[in-house]
Amino acid sequence: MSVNTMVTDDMRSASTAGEYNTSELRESVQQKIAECWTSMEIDPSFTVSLVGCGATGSAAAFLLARVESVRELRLIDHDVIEPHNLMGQSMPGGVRPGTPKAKALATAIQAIRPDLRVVPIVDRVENRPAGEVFGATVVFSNLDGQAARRYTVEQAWQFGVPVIDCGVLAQGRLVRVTLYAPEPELACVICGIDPAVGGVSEQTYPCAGDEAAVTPAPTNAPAWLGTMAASLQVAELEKVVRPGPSRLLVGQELLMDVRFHRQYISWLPRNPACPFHHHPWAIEKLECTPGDLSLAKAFALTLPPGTRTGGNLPRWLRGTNLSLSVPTKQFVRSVQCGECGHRRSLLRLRHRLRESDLACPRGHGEMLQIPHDIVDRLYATCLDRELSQSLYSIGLKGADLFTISGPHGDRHFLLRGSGAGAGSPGRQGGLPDDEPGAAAPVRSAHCPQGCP
Amino acid sequence: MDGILRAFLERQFVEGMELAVASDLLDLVPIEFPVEDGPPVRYLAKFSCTGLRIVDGEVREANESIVGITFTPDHLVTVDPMRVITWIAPDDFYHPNVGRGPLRSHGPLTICVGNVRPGVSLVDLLYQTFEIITYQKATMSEPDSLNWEACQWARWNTDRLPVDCRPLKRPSRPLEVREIDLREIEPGGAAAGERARASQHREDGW
Repeated sequence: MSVNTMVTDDMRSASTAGEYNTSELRESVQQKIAECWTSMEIDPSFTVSLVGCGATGSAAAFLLARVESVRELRLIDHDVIEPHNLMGQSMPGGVRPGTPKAKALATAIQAIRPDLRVVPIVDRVENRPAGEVFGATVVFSNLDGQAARRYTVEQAWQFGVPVIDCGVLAQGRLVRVTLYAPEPELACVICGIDPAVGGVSEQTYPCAGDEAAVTPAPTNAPAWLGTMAASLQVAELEKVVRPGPSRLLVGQELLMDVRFHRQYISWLPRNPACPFHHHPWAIEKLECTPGDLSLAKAFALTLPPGTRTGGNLPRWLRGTNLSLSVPTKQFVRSVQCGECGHRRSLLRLRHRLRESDLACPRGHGEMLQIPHDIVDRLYATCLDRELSQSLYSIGLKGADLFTISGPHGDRHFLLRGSGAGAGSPGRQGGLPDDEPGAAAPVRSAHCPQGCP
Repeated sequence: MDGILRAFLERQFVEGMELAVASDLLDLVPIEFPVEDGPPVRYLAKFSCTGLRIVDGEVREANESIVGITFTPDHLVTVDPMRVITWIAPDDFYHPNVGRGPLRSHGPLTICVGNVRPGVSLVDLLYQTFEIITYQKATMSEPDSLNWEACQWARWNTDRLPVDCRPLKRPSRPLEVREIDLREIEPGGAAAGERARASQHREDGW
């Protein structure tokens, strides 16, 4: 099979000055490759988070299990196996339909490599604590939805973790692999997306019903096509693990046309008007669990040492303009019953609402979120008794990431959890992520109240 | 706050307040400023135009409507239609695009203005809301509406729609004021003009 490699017109458009200069462009990219290589803290034994266990993800999981350097593999997928998946995806044999894909793959992989720590997570990637998914060395994105892919790449970028993304187009027998390295000068996933088109395709409307979830159409790709994409993904990973003479797809996209035996490498131009900030965050890791940290203490993390609060931290905080937010998540401040109209105040993360939060105390029906009382951030000035509530009580879990904004700018904190810490192998045993009153000591930075 | 988002929000603030100043039917109040000295991300918009309410089973006019407008941190990439425009008052507003959904007698009202693209401007949102309130835009198909009764009423009463024909933005017609001499227009020349003015003054009680 002959392979034609072409330099596409994308290279010409990559220059922001509008002028085409191949040699300058290639030199800058090569330099960027070298910088990415050295900026990545390559750990001989590292963790891979695989998001999406469908056509490409299921194949990638088995291939990753056979990469000796991988010491921990996290499989994230909310879906269950359906009968048609058994032919189109690389699911293990003898699995009953209805079994969660992540668990089925984990069981099969563990049999291949007993020394490999496999963590199946049966949930949507958006619902998991950020540190649990993105506190890894590399993230594999094997998703078929644009919104989930964007979320995965952006969150990994903020953690400073590279993402190897792949996709297939069954109709054209096309395979695509893209490496997103978290560098300010490199393109992200939405640099090339037209928001006017991409946003509408996965938009929900109030008239469509409560919490109408948009499910992307299945790829219906043959299993071999998904395996081909997964192979190219793992091949890119090996270049990171074993540096040598090769070409890393940094800021580029590999497109393979299997039908006509052609291969294209396109440069992904950085969009200067991209709404994503493109800068990895400086994340401060806390040694406390969400049950040990109250809202007041969380705000106090950003106070300079020696700040005098007059002995009443909550009252002092209410005079500041500090705010707490969880990236991409919202808080619900009140709910109302759809049958009797009873209204109740609440303070909880929107995606972590419990059944008790949504049950009418009068026994009538379901409590509904009031749209105007769904907020992106909690301001210290607007909180009273809530300041003494723990982060656990408002829905945060171990390995969750939260941001405190104020005059100092934004500071990002990662709660302790089993998945926290980039590149660290998974901890064996340990405490549950969201259990309050953890035995481990709490250490917080610059708390004037002297958190233990 | 990212520079691109901040520039967008600042532009929305300026354009939104300009529209409010140029309108007799709109009051716009920014209510949330996440960054000190930064642009607002949430607004309250009060429309003094005519809408409809349902009171004791009877359709009546509503003279005031209040909505909330929210710009989320990823507004330039994706829009949450449930949050970008939120209905606040009145609680008994009557419109096919404003409701609680089928089979619900209580609960918060939601408003559906249709397709909302990422990066939509504040002025666009205000105009779309105004068109909904005044029945210049209304869904006539129950499966697509939030209030089936209002949808049916609108189909039976299309001759009464829209309920308010005034434009949101005050029409700008510059008036040219020029002082004229009545002698220029009165027949009989200057004397006739003097007598006409004197007669007018007596009538006016001067």
